[in-house]
Amino acid sequence: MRFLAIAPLLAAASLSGAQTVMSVYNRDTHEPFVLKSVKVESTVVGPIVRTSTLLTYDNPYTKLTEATLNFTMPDAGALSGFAYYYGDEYVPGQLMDKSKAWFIYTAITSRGRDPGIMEQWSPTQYHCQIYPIMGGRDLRIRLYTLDFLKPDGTKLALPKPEVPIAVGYEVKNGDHGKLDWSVRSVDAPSVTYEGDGYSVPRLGESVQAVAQRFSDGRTYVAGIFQTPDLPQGQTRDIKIIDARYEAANQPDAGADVTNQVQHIVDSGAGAVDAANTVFGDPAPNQIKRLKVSYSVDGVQQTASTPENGTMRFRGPDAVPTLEIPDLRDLKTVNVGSNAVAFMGWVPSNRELIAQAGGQKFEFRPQGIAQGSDLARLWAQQMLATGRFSGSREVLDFSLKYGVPSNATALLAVPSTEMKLFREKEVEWQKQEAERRRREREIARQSRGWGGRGGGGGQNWRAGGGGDPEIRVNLTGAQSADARFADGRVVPLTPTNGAGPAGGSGGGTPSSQWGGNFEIPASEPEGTYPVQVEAKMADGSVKKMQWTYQVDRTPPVGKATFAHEGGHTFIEVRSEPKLNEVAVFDEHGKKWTLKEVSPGVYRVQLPNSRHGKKLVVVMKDMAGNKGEITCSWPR
Amino acid sequence: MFLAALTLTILQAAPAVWRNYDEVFDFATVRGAPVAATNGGLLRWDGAQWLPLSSPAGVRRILSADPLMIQLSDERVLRQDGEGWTVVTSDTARSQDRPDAASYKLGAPPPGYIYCSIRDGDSLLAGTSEGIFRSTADGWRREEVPTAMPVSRPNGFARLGGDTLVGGLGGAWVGFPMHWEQISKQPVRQILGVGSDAWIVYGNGAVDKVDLSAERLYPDVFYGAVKRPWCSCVAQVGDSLAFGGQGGWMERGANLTERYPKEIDGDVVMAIAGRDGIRWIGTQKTGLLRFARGRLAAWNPGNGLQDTWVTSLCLAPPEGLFVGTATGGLYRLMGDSISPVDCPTKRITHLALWHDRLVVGAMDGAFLRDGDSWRELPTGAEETTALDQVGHDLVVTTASGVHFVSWDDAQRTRE
Repeated sequence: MRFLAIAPLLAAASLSGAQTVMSVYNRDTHEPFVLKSVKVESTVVGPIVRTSTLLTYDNPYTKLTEATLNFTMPDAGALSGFAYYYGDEYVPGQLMDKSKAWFIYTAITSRGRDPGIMEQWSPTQYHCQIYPIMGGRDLRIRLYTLDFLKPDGTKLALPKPEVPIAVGYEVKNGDHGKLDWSVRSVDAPSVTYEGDGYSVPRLGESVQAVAQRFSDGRTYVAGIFQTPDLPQGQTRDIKIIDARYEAANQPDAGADVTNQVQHIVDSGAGAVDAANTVFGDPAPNQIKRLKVSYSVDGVQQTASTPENGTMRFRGPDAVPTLEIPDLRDLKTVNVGSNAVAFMGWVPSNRELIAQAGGQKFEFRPQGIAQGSDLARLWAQQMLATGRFSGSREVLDFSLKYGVPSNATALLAVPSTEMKLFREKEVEWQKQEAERRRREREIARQSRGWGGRGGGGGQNWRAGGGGDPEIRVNLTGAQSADARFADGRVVPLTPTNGAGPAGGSGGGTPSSQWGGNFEIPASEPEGTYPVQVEAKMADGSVKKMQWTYQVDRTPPVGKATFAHEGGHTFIEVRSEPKLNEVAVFDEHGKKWTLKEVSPGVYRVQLPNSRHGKKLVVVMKDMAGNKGEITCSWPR
Repeated sequence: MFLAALTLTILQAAPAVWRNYDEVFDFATVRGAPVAATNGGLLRWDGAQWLPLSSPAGVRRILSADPLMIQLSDERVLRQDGEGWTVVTSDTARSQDRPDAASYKLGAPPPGYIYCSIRDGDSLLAGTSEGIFRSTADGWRREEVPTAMPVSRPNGFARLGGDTLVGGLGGAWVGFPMHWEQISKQPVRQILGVGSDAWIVYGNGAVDKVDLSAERLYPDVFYGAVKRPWCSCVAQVGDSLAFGGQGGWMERGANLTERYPKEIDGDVVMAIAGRDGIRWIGTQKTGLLRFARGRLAAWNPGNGLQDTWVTSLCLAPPEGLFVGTATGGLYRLMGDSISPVDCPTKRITHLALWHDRLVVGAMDGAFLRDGDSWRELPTGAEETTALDQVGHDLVVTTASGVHFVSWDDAQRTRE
């Protein structure tokens, strides 16, 4: 059983300067896997960078092992793919409904225990389990991510990937692995290597953007907007009001670091790293965050950054609110002290106008080859900040764009397990179909269709045939059958509640049982018994009987005319409670008679004649029809 | 023009037919082999498999083995007569050992209700509401029978790509013989296939849309969308779909529109036909109405349409509009004039065009109009519950199954 089950998924590699991989360790022993190599391949496309990261860890275990992997994602980035290697086989992950992924994973995994909790601590933090890892073979994981370049003065820098050599369950501060990092550019200026990182020159405009058509027909736009730098010598007054470095899931476990953060800010740094190396570890074995309330030039703000992230302090006007009126569903993310990444879509690429701080900036996004990169960057932000009406909408959205969410999981299944995977997938689909069907049936029942409302219990066929219903109150029944004169036995089913008494469904046992039966089209006129036999929860048998009638006799009657008060009436005498008595003239006009007393039906006719002939039609409840032809009264 | 009365109800060879044999009411030993009486007809065990015997559907009892006499669900008694059957009256009762299946201590009984049992060599056969089971050392084993249908009384059929959608009293299924998936448990009234979609009208008035290409079902599509979300029929009218309801109808084309004319207030729309801006509406109590360019015309017993219960409509230019009624037979409307059409049946349930010929489905069979004469289609004179077309074949669903009638088969039938 070789599965890689990844919770709301997969953190991306690095591109924000934040730590990508936080810890990789053996789930049984909590010992870290030691990093052997990190190979990173980056492709710059305009202000966007695609990165493929191959992480190789030493696996000292000779038997099957499970690994836990924790990731963080950059704020503006998105995951575009995940895979691992089972031996030499490259196994890509499939994004799917999280409940489906868990169903398959837990049904097949033979570890005999809960494979673990999949949690999304935030839109940027993910937890992943890899099981099993082939004994004696390295653990190799590949991540595909998208992110924005980071403005850095006159350059746009590629954030440097950072992966610790060994960080286990008990978090240890490990040195970072040495990178094998290659970069190329497409539709962008040449990349230069300087110091320990790569960058491309900034083009000089305030807005740099690219546009890409997605399979849904929309053109998605992503770019970076930068405000001009502050004039030389101008600084901002940053005051730290309150700062805590605390456990993300248990805020009480933490430390007050207000003075330390203020000291860092006063030293001229515009940013603080949220790391144990800075503040110590006030909550061992827990993922932490730095939460700061502060003011910039008197304007109060609050910010929170996960462990190993960087918090930047900026004033209210460092990056004015960005508006791009023609860019639909605009999303923005700060990517620097004076830069904002933005994403949205248009029906087709065109000139756009960005508005910020009272200024307008015209730009035309650079078109790039059709694909899903920009759509995914936008969808990631929609999932992080958008409003959805329910988990179903989140799931559909997530699957459409191939972006992880709290409703999805990635499941990677090696080819040797695909047969079992497909069987379990089919089983899950059947379960889901049955669940949806039950929900629909319950919803229909609650609408009270059974002959009430618009239907009125119409009998569809004249003269026989149909689908009558049985509805019986049988509180406490375990099963019930309806038995007919022709020998048929039709099982009845619960029509409300959770099911039979004593059943495993839980909830309130059903009190009403029902089913449909047919009356053969050629069944002769007569009275037919129906017997219901129910086995009760206490072991007794309850019997009920009634009859139905097949009526094939048409009604007969007599029509007369009356003149009263200057008006003409037609009166028909026939059997009582007919379904309808109507009279038609030669022009097709219809008058419906009302039953004024049992078996007497009457309606007023116009005084002037409408032709010579009148036809009276009488219909009983069984649909049998009788006719009377008469003439207009003189 | 019309064949003789039903003293001979023959199942002619052999258009393909899908039947359900899952309800087994009786067994008998006939010429040394077990024969089962099922909802789909008779089955005979040949030592290796169960094979259908040519017989009507809905068999309840096997009264005698030689001659073979059976009783149907409507209590008619038939005697085998060569390849066919003759209706007889008989008090013949069969006396055969009927071992009690429950007396065999084989652990859990077979599923369903046990109607009957019979010995077959060293084993016992049990006929149940869910099939035939044979006793083995390990318990009951379900016998494989040639059931092609998931439901015993289909009311609707549609072929969408490689899959088939069928519906009946027990709900709706999609798939193909021996491989069905139930998508609804509600009794089905009508199914209409349009392109890759199908529309299911249920007996309770709800309407579902099925998109087989996307494997999706859209439940109760009119709930919350129209004033009266209760449907009685569906028809294709040009590029749009029309859904009949209580006192009016809905049309789904570019937009969803509803019409509730006061003339049919309180009535039920049973059939709809249309062309351009004209709509012909068939009702239960008001006969036939035509709504065209703001003008209304009506036909009923007062002016030539003897039955107010219109069951079906079929637009067949240049002949006009054919009108089927519940007890009054067939009519044709040309312009404003309606006239009866000679027809072998008075109890019409469905109308359709097939190879430009009119097909009449009725309570007592299905018939093909050939000029001024009629041919009875080989569906065993059973009640027609739906008409459809798959390729060049006509599909007739009846009370006992689905018949696939080729044009050649239809030409070979008697006038």
